[in-house]
Amino acid sequence: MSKLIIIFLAVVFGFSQIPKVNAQNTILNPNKTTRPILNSTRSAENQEKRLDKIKEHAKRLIENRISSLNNLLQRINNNSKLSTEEKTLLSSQVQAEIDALNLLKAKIEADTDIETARQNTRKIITDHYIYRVFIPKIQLLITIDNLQALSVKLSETTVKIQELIDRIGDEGKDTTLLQSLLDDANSQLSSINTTLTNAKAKVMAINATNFQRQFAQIKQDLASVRNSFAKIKNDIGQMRTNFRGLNKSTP
Amino acid sequence: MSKANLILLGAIITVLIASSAYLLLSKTNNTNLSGQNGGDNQNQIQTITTDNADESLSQTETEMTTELNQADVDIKEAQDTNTTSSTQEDLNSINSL
Repeated sequence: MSKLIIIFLAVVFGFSQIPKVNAQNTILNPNKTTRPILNSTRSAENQEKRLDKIKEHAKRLIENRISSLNNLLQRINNNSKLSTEEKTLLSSQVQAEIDALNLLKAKIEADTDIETARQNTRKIITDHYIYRVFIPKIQLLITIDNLQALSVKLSETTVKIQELIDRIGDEGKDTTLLQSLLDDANSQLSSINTTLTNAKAKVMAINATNFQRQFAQIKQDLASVRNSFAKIKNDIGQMRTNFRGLNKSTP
Repeated sequence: MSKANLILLGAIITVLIASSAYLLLSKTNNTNLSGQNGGDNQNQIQTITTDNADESLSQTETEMTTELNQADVDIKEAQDTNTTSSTQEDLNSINSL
C-alpha cells in the first residue's frame, strides 16, 4: 500500500513539475516564443524609418531647388532689360518647374513603400535637371535677351548717327569716314543679331545629355558677339573723335 | 428762391466741385506718370547733334561695357551652375537610403 502511495505521489509530483519547467523556460528565454512577432515589428519600424528618411531627403532636395527657382524668378522680374513678353515667357517656364516639383513633393509624401518613394525621389533629378540644365538654360536665355536689347538700343543710336551724318553732309562737309564707320557698325549689328538668334535656338535645344556640347558652341557664339560689339565700340570711339573735330572746325 | 431750388443748386455745386477735384487729381496723377515716363525716356537717345555727339556716344560706350561685362558674369554663372551640380552624387545618396 505504501508503495502505491509513493508511486501515486511521485506521478502527481512529476506531472505538477511539467508546466513549471515550461514556465521557467519561457521566463529564462522569452524570445523563444515571441521572437517572430518582435522581429516582424522591428522590421516594420525599420521600413518606416527608412521611408521617412527618403521622404525627408526628397523634401530637402525639392525645397533647395524651389528656392533656387524662386531666386531666378525674382531675377527675371527685376531685369530692366527684358521685355514684358520675355519676362512672362521665362517666368512661366520657371513657375511650371516649381509647380511640377511641388506635385512630385506631394506624391513622395504620400508614398507608402520604400521603392516607390526612392523611384519618385530619383525623378527630382532625372525628370527636371534643375541645376544641371534648367537654371543654366534660363540664365543663358536672359543673357542673350539682354544682349539683344543692347543690340536694339545700338540700332536706334545708329539711326540717330545716320541722321546727323546726313545733316553734316548736307552742310557740304566730308562724311566719308563717318559713313564708313557707321556702315561697319551696322554690319556688325546685323551679324550680332543673326548670331544671337542662332545661339538662342541652341539654348532652347539644350538637354541633359548635350549640355556640354551645346554650351561650348553657345559660348563660342557669344564670344563672336562680344568681338562684334568690341568692333562697334571701336567704330563709335573713332566717330567721337571725328565729331569732336567737326565741332571744333564749326565756326 | 424756393427751398427745393436751393437744394438743387447746392447739389449741382457739390457735383461740380467733386468733378473738378476728380479732374484735378487725375491730371496730377497723369503728370506724375508722364514724369516717370519722362524719367525713363531720359535714358533713351535724344537727337544727336555735333554738340552732344561726343557725350552721347560716350554714354553708349559706357553702357556697352557694362552690358558686356554683365554678360560675361552671367555666362560664367550659367557654366558654374551646371558644373557644380552633383547629379550623380545626389542619385547615389538617394540609392543608399
